[in-house]
Amino acid sequence: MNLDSWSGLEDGDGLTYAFDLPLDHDANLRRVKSLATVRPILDIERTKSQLQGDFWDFYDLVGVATATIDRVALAMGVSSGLSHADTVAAAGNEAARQQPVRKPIEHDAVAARVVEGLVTSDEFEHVYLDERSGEDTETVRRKWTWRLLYEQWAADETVYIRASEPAITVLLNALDVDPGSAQAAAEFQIRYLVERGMYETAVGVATQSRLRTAGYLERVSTIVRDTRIDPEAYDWIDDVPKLLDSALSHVSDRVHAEGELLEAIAERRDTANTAEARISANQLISVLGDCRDRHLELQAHLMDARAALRRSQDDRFASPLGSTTVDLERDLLENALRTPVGTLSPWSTSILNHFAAPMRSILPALSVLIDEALTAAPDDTEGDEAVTVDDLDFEDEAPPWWEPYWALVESLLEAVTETLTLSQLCARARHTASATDLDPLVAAAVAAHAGYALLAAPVDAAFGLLAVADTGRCDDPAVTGTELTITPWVTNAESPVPVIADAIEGAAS
Amino acid sequence: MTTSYDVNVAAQLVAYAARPKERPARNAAYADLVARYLNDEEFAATADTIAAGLGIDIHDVDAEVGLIASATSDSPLRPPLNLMALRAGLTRKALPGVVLLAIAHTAFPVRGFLEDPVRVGYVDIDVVVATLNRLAERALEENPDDVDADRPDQGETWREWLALREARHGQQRSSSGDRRGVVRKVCKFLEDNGHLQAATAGTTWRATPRFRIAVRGVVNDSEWYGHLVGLLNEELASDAPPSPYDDPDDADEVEDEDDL
Repeated sequence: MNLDSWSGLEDGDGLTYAFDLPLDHDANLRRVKSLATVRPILDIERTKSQLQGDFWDFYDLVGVATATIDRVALAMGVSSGLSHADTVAAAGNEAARQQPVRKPIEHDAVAARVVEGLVTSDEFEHVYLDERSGEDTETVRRKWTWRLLYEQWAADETVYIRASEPAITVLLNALDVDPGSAQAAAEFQIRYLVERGMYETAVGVATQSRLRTAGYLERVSTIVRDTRIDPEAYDWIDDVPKLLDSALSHVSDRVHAEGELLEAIAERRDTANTAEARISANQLISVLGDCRDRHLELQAHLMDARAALRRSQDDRFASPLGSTTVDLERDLLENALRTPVGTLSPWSTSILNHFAAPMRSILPALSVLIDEALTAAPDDTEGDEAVTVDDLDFEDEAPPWWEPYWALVESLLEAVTETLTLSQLCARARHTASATDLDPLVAAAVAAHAGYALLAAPVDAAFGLLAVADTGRCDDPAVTGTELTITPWVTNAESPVPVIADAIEGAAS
Repeated sequence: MTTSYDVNVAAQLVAYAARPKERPARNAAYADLVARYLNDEEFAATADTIAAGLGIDIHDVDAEVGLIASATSDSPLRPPLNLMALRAGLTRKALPGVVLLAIAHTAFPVRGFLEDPVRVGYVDIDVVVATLNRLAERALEENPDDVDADRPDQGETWREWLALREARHGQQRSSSGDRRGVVRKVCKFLEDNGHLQAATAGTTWRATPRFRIAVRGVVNDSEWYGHLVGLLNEELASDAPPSPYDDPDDADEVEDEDDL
């Protein structure tokens, strides 16, 4: 930030005054990121009007989304989360809570939409300006990427869903928070509230504290995971040991403090007068107990982290000398594409074999089995090359019933040389279909489908055809839609860009 | 000392090579065998010997993924993959291997993803097709001349990809002859071998940890790359015909050397 541009502003009376804006740059960046994080959640709400169905206005999708993130975050351990089905169920419950009288099928649709919007494999991106003031103030464009909910593999090869640290930050209404100090502040707050017997407020604070623990856990897991992937991702000499040390001491402080707090609450619970106070105190104990369990889990994870990191470094150094890793696209894919087919075939076959398990069980499709049973036995004189039962595994399924219809319509479209309407195309399809064994009604429907697909097709698409919507309606009985004018476009020497044939200009005007 | 009982148990582990979708976490017996392989060197050596005798190449034994293995070229246990290409309507066997590499690249677009045991990578047919289109079209721009019609073997593999029909616009169903169909076929093959897990029927898959380890093996083993570059250089050097690979018998020999 260039401070000069901020000083010397004029106010309404024509007086000038200078001020210096004390700006905590890092805190501001954290706020920018926190606000950007919300965008995908708001997008889910914003785009709901484009979805099929007229019930979307009854639901607050932002509310469903935050409730879903909450459920996922609370279910998280060091290496666990919520299953996909449970996540959808959690979102569905929240939708049902919002509109209990509406149909369950709507709740399911809402849940599916929200989970689809939240769980991504790609990352969201936000480009921001990072201004570092120093000797020379310079502005750099930086990209921040994040995910809200993401999938992760479990050992039994099922996937479960976890919440990212930015997603948890959204839940905490926290624009600018350091999780470590916030945790200590929350403990202080709980202690104060308990001393004054305000158990209900204390439960709210403790629940937030539980989310914060999940966020902290996620931060440490991410760093440990990144370091395992690339030991040079973080500074291993200073930063990582410092981080692990501070995380460990933070966690042991928390475990200690939570233990004390639990005792204090238990003591006060026994002297509480009202039933409500006792219930709240019990709730508080259960939430704090859960916090402590998580902290203990984190502590165990941290103590193992150092050893795990060392092991992965050893692995890397132990790899044999001279074995360099190659780039999939640049070294393998591009070179393979440039190798002649005759030369590449054996290489290609052996790479497929590298991914094939030996002695696989063979279960061919029934249609294949029947076809194979009815054909004459192969000539055994070819020796090893003879077709064996094993080969059936790679047999195609029988061609689907619609294939002849598409072939028919495609041949019609390829034959188009002058402008025609969709009705005419459908009529041609009916005519050709009745000449063969095909159903004219289906042929007309497929022709209409192909015609409307041309509307959306890019200009360089197949067939060299262009479709324009007309004012009338298609008069084919199988089609209830607008009429189209379909015309071939041509390229000529003067213009490399396709020029619409004269005919369509006449038709359109 | 290795007893006949130990040999029996080691052979049980090797038998899991044929069950690529089984995982130790779902099968306690398998988990015990894998743990023993990883912790007991003598047992591991016995299992390796049995595998070698059967013509099975053990690539990796992972506590979570289990045994990753394939059959060597002279093994009777080797699945007949040549036919896969032929049944897909391809005249040559070159393309499926290239499509497999493109699938791997789609699942692990960044090198670091190959080292991340928990990240879930996705394979979308359209992304694989777009990747191959991009690379093939770039190759076409650099080398727009047609290939000698009398020597189809000399045509580069990207030409074969471009010769495949593009799927019709907005087409959702599969047709085995077009580009999407060929990619789908290789994806199905990988799914059958426990490398992919269907996410959306017929269009997207999750890349399993097994696929990650297998791909990492190909990328880290410089022999695959070295051999490929060798083929390419040979081709450039012997610009004059005839290519030694025109003879199918010779081609088989090359395949044997190539097996790792």
